[in-house]
Amino acid sequence: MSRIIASAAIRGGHACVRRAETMLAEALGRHNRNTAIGFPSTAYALPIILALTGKRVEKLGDLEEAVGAARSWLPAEPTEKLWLPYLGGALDAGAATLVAQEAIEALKPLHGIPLEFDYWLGPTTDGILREQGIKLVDGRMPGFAACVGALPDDETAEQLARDLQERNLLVFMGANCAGETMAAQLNRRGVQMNWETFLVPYGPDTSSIVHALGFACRAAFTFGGLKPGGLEETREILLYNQRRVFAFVLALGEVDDEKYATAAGAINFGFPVIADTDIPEILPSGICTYEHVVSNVAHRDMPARAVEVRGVKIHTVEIPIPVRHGPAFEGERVRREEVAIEFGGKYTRCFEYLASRPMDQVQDGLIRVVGPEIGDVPEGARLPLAIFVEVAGRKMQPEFESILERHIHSFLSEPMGVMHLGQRDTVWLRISKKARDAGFRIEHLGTVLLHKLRNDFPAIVDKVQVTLFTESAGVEELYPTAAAAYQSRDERMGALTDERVEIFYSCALCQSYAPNHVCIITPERLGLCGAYNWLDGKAAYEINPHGGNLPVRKGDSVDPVLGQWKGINDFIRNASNGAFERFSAYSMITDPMTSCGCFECIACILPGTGGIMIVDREYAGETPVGMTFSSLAEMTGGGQQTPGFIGIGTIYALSRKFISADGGLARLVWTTTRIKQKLGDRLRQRCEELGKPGFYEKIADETVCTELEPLIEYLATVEHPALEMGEMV
Amino acid sequence: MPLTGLQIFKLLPNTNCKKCGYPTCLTFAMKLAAGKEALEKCPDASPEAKAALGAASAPPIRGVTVGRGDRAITVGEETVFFRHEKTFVRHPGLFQIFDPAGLTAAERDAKLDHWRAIRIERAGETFQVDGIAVVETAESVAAAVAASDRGFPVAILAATLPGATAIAERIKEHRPLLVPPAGANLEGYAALAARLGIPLVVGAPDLASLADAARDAARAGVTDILLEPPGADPRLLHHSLSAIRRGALDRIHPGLGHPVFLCVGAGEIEKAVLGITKFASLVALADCGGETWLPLWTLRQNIYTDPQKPLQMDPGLYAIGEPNDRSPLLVTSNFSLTYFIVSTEAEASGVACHLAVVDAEGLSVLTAWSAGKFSGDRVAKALREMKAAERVSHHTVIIPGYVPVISGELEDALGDGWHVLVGPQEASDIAPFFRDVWGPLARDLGTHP
Amino acid sequence: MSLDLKPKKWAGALREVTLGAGSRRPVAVGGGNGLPLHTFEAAFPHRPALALEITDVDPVRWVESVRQPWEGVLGRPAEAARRAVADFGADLLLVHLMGTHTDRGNRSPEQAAADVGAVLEAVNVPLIVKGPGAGQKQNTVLARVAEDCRGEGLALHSATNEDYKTLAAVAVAYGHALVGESPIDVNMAKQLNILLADSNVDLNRVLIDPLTGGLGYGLEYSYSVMERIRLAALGGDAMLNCPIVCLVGEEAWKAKEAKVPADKEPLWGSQRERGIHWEVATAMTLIEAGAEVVVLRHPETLDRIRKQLDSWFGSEPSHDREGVVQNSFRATDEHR
Repeated sequence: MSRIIASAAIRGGHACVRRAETMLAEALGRHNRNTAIGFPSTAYALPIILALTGKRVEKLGDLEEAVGAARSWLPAEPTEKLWLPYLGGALDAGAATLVAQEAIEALKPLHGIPLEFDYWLGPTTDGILREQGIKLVDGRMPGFAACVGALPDDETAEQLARDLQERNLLVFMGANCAGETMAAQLNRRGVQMNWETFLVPYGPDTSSIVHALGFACRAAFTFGGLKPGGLEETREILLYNQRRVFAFVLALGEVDDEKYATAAGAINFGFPVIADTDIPEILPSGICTYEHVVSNVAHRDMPARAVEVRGVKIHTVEIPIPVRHGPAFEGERVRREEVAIEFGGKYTRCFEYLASRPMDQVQDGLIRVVGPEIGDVPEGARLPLAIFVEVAGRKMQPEFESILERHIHSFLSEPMGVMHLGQRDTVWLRISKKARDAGFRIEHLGTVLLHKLRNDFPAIVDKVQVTLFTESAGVEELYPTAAAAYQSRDERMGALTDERVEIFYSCALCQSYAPNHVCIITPERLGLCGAYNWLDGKAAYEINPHGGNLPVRKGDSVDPVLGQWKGINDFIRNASNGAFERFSAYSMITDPMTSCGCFECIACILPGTGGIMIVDREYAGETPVGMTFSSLAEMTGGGQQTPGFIGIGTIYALSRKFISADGGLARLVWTTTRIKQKLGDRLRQRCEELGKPGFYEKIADETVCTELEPLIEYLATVEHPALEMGEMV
Repeated sequence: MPLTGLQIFKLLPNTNCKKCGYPTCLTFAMKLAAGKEALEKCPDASPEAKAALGAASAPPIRGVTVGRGDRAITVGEETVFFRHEKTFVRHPGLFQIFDPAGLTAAERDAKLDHWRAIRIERAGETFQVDGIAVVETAESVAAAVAASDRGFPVAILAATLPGATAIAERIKEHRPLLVPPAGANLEGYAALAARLGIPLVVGAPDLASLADAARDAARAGVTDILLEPPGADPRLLHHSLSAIRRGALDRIHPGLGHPVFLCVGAGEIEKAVLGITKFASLVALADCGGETWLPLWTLRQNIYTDPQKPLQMDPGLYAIGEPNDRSPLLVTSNFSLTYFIVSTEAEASGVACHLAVVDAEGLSVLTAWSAGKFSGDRVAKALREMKAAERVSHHTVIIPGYVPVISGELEDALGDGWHVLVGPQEASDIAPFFRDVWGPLARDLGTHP
Repeated sequence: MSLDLKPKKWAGALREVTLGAGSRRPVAVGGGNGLPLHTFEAAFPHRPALALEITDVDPVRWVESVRQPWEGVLGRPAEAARRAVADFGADLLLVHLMGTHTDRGNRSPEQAAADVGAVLEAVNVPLIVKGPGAGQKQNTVLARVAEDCRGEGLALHSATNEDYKTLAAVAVAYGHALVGESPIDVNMAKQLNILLADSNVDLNRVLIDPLTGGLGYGLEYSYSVMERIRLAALGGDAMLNCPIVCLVGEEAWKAKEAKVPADKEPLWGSQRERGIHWEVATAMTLIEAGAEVVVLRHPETLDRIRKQLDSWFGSEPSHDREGVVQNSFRATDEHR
């Protein structure tokens, strides 16, 4: 922690505690120790003191112990020469400050100082807490901003308040800056301040900020079921706030020692500080989720920056576009005669490209159309289009780019009157006349992407900006970059090997009907449904850590040929409810993977040929093994280990790890024409890699035969390599 | 640990001779592993194979067939305790207890004809009375003959050994089930069953003596045995049923590896429920009303559905209420659960409609769509086959809210004049959908009644 | 030859959940350490509890044979509650606030809270309170009921994977139990419990509603999912060992077979008996699969199921049927 901040906070803490001690001594001189003390209509006494010390302060005399505790937490007051243990001391000073400030606030009435006057609302009652606090906990309200100080002018104050309101954030105000307060500024602008408008002014002194933090503590007590008590309980309360109450402090104007001290107190709760002045920053995360203190932020940027730093996720309920939208319009067609404007298809270049960027290089919400808009061109015009999406997120990884990019299709299919087909550079997009007449413009494609990406992927996407190029120059300029990215992603995926990663992903989405089945997804073996590869598993886990995809550490290798690892076997044993002990990633004979029932294809051995066959779900005819797909499925499915039979995703056949322990792709003697078509050149290429000339042509299919004897004859005729490899069992 | 198909395969001759009825030895091996075939079907199995497979390939619970011909029923051959582990294979036979005392021949025949005529179609299955359990009285020989003549498998609920012998002798060709009276000395009955080669029910007051009794009957030459579990009260019955199944699967006593027989008196539907869910294989019911039988048939259908293979409806156009050519047309998959939910909610809406059930291989709508079984083309083809165009004049089809993505393709595939309307995602929203979306639309189209 | 039938022992047991607090006479469920009804080899501290469903408004869709026993009190929740407890012997009640649904009367949260309050005044058995179905309205209604009836240990029905935060927070805040509802899926049930635990809900105050398929309408799915949840619980899975509640009446009486009159389907037999049998068969089957609380509609079903359970758990009812109170007292409000 910055030495300057730490010193200031500790100085501020000492000052605050001294002030509390003085006020308490004065009060005790004039009032009985048993004089009732506390805030109106609350069951939580003085909530911060309750949370931090575990003690209920109900009488004047009780304050002695609390203030005494604050005193004891204070580190020595810093001098020029004293070297400081930064973070710990400052945080302790912060906690002491909050206790002292709460004592001061509680003592005010005894000194004849009102807590509630003019537009200042003073402490919040439990009634309001119950009504409003729950919104913080259940997510209806994304968080609160504690605004400390004042803005340079009334207009900026109002603008900041409106910006925060727009994000649905609860706004607490307190403290002053040379006598000026944000609440006074809003009051002069005629802004309504109360619990209905979510603009809540607590008091003009810095100490009044404790009511905001007290509000957070009481929410934890009430809705988190947390109990005050000892150190462990205090830790729980602070952690609860850090994890669930998305609050932050906006330091507006000059930051004095007491404000530094208060800020240090807030940091204990995981609430970061965003300042408009040039104070020292504290960036590395420790207590707060991300940065602790961020400074020199322009007022206009403050809400966005604060939301980002605190990790507040703002969910857009209603996407602001002029047409209806939703999954219900996903499959709709826009016919030629209905087209207002059209991109791609076979007419123009049209592509979409999503790239991740560092946090500071994306301006969240920025949508630009570079080139003509819908109204600038005649009806039915065909334009080129580049949909360029740049995202940033704390947990965003370049690997997730392709996953997010794949979603562009469903997102852009949702507005009524927009037709989107294809992906990457094969996109075909139409906007209907009806949509245009309703006010839909090209720009709104960006609006949809912005909100959908933020809403659907809050765990990995924090910021989105979209650029829509609608003129050749821009489109052509960006295209090489996009094309290179497509290629490098494919190559990266291709280069991603099982050896290079330490973690595989499980998929238990099918356990509902195959109770003991678990898919293990490796970079070189995708899920048997064909829908989930390793990256999908990884992203799914980031997005929902309690979902069906969990990371599984490989652990020590048990058998590198079969593809067995200790960590995987342990996981399988547990996840299969004890039904299976071992799992081989690369064998269909020894401890093969179980199959649920959603497999795209079944691979099964063909005794007598030394090989295997692969049959797809769509193929209804007979196969050389003597079973149709559906009888094979009956044998293979249901979450059993069935040596000799595995369910696979079609493209697993292309993997270097395809039954590599059993001889690999060279074992393939029969498959369906549909699979040959689907894998096409990639299969041909993979066959060539095996170094067995003419191998691809030697693989039989249903046009050659559907029975075993003729297959064996055929294989002998073509000299299929499997014949030489010996029987598999 | 049972042998895997591959382990069994290695014990077979691998000649692919097809004598077992399967095209390859591997296929036969897989059937053996699944407990669906017996090694005897392979004439060339080596003695080693027989030795290795003998114990392992015998199903833990023997199969028993009662009756002959079309209506003969085979029960047993179960391999699991929980249906989700694999499936319950042979659904229990439900027999009607019939006491012919005091009935004229005509009255008796009328009853038997009535029972024989009962056929209730439900979710692809036909419910019927599986057999007649004839109570031994003076009139029973004739009654048993009459029941057998009508094709019914017969259980003889014996009162006396001579009486039972008389009945059994008459219908022995029909493979009746011999059920001795409670507490009877089983020796005579076992000898009778062994001599006639018919199945026998053995009972005993406790599980140990039951297992021993079954073993003794087998030693006396009875090949097909059913166990009547001790069951004076629901708790004891449940205990007995559970213990027999578990003991059979664990092969702790050869006497437990038989299917279970249960007699249910009048007004005891709870006992029948317990029996059907907990492993009974033949249940004889005293009650004869549909209010007892329909729930039990349905329960049996539910419990004996293969949990990995969803129950399917026959594809086709189903009428909900009494729809006409202006009624809405809904389309859904033939997964029975989907159908039931959609039809129940559609019916509750009070709006008569047509429900087109499309063959989606028994998958739910969304799964079927992902698997390509509920594509626009497939739905369009199905609607054409059902001649939907002739049934509704508005040519509008309402698709499930989960698959709006097929709307364009479906509209294209159906061709001119058809409109696709995206319905709600949840069936519970069908009523509001009819009211808020279909209603105004139908009025606009001028098609609403 | 003696039989070597070893009792099956398990690593885990169900959680014990107590429903009702404050002025309620509490009913505890769960706690067993074996397969359902396997009293011959495991210990079960509590028998499955039997609830009857009462509604805030007249349930017009109920078929006549299930309306009949409630004649005169349908839509009058307090009177219905008295009858359910005093005459029919329910261990607890499910108050279905169906009238708060926007399409079925759109009653306000205040009216709902008053209805539940009236039931609390009328009887002293624990209540499960069911809202109009997931969504904002349900949250507002149940949050209000939870706040107004704080300390009564209600079971709020229901939180779902998509929408649990509000009910989790109010259950914690006002001392209620919570029913987590998931769509016939073991993993979803587990995920929801993880989420609830993560929201500081004590899982000893949670019931699992795995979604009930009625007889003929998906019963087999519920049956197997419940067996699997029980096996997971007994295997020691601390996220799946909450007792299960099944809304049997609602599902059983929804079936066409429970509603069609005898003259329309002569082979189906008497409609009244058929309906009751439908509910009895559904309830009994699900109790065998592990239901610890079953919610029924017809009092005759309740009576028949109770007699069955007596065979396992003895004939002294867990409830002496004097649950109707003249002068009830409510939990004092410690927050005021």
